[in-house]
Amino acid sequence: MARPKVEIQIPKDLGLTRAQISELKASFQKQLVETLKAKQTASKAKSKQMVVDVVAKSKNQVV
Amino acid sequence: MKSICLVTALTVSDFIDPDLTAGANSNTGAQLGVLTLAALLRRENYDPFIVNLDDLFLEFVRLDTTRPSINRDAGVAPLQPSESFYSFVVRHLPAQSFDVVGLSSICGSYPLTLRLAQEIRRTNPQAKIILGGPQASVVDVATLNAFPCVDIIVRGEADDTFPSLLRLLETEAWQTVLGITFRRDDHVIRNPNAPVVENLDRLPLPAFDLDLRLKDRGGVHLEIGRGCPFACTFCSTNDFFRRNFRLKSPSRMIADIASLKNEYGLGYFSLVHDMYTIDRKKVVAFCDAILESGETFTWGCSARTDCIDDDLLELMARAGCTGIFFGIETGSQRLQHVINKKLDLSEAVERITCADRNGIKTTVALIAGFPEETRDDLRDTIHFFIDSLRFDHAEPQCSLLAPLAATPVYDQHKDHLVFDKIFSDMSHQSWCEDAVEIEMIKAHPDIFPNFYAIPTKELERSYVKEVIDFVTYLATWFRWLPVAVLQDSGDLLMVFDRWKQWRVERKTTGSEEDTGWTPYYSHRRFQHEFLEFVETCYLPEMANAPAAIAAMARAESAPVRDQRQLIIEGTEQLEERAVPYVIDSLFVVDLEVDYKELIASLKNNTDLNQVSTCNATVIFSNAGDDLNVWQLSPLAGLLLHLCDGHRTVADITQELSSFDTGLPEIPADKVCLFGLGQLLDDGFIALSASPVTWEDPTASTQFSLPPKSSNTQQPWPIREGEL
Repeated sequence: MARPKVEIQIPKDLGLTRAQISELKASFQKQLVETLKAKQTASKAKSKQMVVDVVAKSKNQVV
Repeated sequence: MKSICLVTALTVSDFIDPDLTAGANSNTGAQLGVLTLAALLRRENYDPFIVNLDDLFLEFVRLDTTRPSINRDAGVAPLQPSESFYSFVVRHLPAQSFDVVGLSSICGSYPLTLRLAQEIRRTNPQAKIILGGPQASVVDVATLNAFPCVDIIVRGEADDTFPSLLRLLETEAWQTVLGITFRRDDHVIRNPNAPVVENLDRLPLPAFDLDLRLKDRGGVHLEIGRGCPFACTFCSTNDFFRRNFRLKSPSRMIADIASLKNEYGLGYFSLVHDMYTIDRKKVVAFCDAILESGETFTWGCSARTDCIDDDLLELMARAGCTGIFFGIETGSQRLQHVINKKLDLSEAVERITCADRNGIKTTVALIAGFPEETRDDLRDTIHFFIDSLRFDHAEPQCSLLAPLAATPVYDQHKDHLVFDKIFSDMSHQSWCEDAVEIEMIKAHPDIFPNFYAIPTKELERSYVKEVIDFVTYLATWFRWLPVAVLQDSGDLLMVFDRWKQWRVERKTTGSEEDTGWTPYYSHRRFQHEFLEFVETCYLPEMANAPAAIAAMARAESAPVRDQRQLIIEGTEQLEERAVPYVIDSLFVVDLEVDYKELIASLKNNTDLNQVSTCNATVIFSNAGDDLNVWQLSPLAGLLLHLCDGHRTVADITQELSSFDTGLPEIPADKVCLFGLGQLLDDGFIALSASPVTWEDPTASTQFSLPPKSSNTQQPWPIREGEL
């Protein structure tokens, strides 16, 4: 669900020392494992990427 | 002056969803030959009319309301029930009469082309009907013998032949034109071959103004040369271009590209040549010319992995090359020699690696079902397919062998072809074959051999076809799981056999098999069942590194997405009463191994049992069309799970204080506030002034959007209530 970006007011001063901030940053650090890119076709191939997600069980039932 | 109509060959393939079909084929370039002919005819003051079957096909698919659709426009007129594409085209053929109708042809849509020729003959009996293109060129005599509606076939390159023919058509002299096959009385006459166009620079820019959808395509195919000197046994282009390697000059290519960029706003150019990189010096000259010109555009081409090197790949990437089609054909070194491709497969992997390093997307094209193919060969091919998923920019594809007319493999086996209705994707355009065309194919194996099969000595073709579907859709539905299973098992064919057996056993428990009219493997049901197979069969029976496989299966299970809207009372204050909640567009999964290490192990093909065990929270988050995959620290993961939309910041602080944060010197409330601030900054959580609730369920669409990628698979969430 898309939401407008709001600026969250984070308490500025938690009374932390520089060393504690550094320790906290390390404890909450996230790592980017990879970025999955959207596909772009760049070939002469006639491959079929046939992807189906059908609720109905047969052609006649498809609305 | 004669009136001329040119009909392109249908080249697009059908996808299940109209939008997928339209989107996936938005960059079709099938009309390149026809548009070049149109430009040549204009030089002689003709004003050709173009019928683009690909565009008509896309329109046909969009209008077909008998099939599921995601974003179908409301209010479009549906097709008449059971209308075939053929009758749709007939309804859309121009009403006016033409003196000459030229139809281009390729193998997959040749039955349709001939039916259209018959219809045109019926409605326009005075017209000269002339066929050209790759398929008519190689089955010319048989076509003229069997289809009286066709008057003349132009064989091979038509750039000179077709205009010459038109000039002479009023006289008897047309029968002397080189490169044509025609009927005189009851006899078919085949004139000697016409010479190929040696200097391609003398050809005009194709009449792209006649391509009404060009501006929508974003990119375009552009011929950079013709003729491959190699002689692979399955390939049909040798006869058409006579194995005579030619290239357009760099200055000509850059002038054409600049012109198309300026006029149509195109940014991508698929440079068409069966084997572009055979003359290294000329490729270097082209790349240098691009870099010197200052023109910025991206381009793709075809190459053999033994006709390209790492330095050249780097130069091509710098010059804007973003895609290369590598015909690997088979992952079996033995078969490489049998089919006369003769690639060194380890060298092929090195070139794909280098292309990947340079950000060049590679299509790794493979074929299975060669007559000499053994189980070991097939295993090697599917391993090559799945192994190529280790690269970020490689996209494997595998087709069933189709015996194309006038190829060595066809010539060798033409007396033993069988019609088993197991078609290669080279040979059909849609989900349901047209019954009339099936009868044509059955009556004329010499004209439509690509719809037939060469029997395989050791393998059932139905088995080969299912293996192809299996790996193709593993790569469609999953990103890393197929690589993990291959790496873990060392024998994907053995896994496939066990999978098949598991499905048979499962069927007895009441599993439904009916998947409608589309292949089972293309359904989400395959994704679900494969995950179930991994969990209930592969892991207990076969896994060597169960922790890694279990983690990967969990990471790639489709998240269930609630279709209801969150009701939140947004706040900007991170204070005690605020209620943090996880952004609902994220997919969050908890694993028992280090996911980053796991992915590295798969990329580098190292021992999966060496991946560290730990509690890891992994987040898949959208970044435009891409998807970022993050691994949280254990503490951030713990905090994230406390942000359930019900607990307040005060509740979370209190709960966190009962855990060992590993930060004994820092009070829990400060750890909590700092961590929540970090998660807010990262965009993983948001704040509500009151507990989050859900709206009542709303009627949701039956079909969820498919993934935009194949090996760069993104999790495709299930909508709640969806099967």
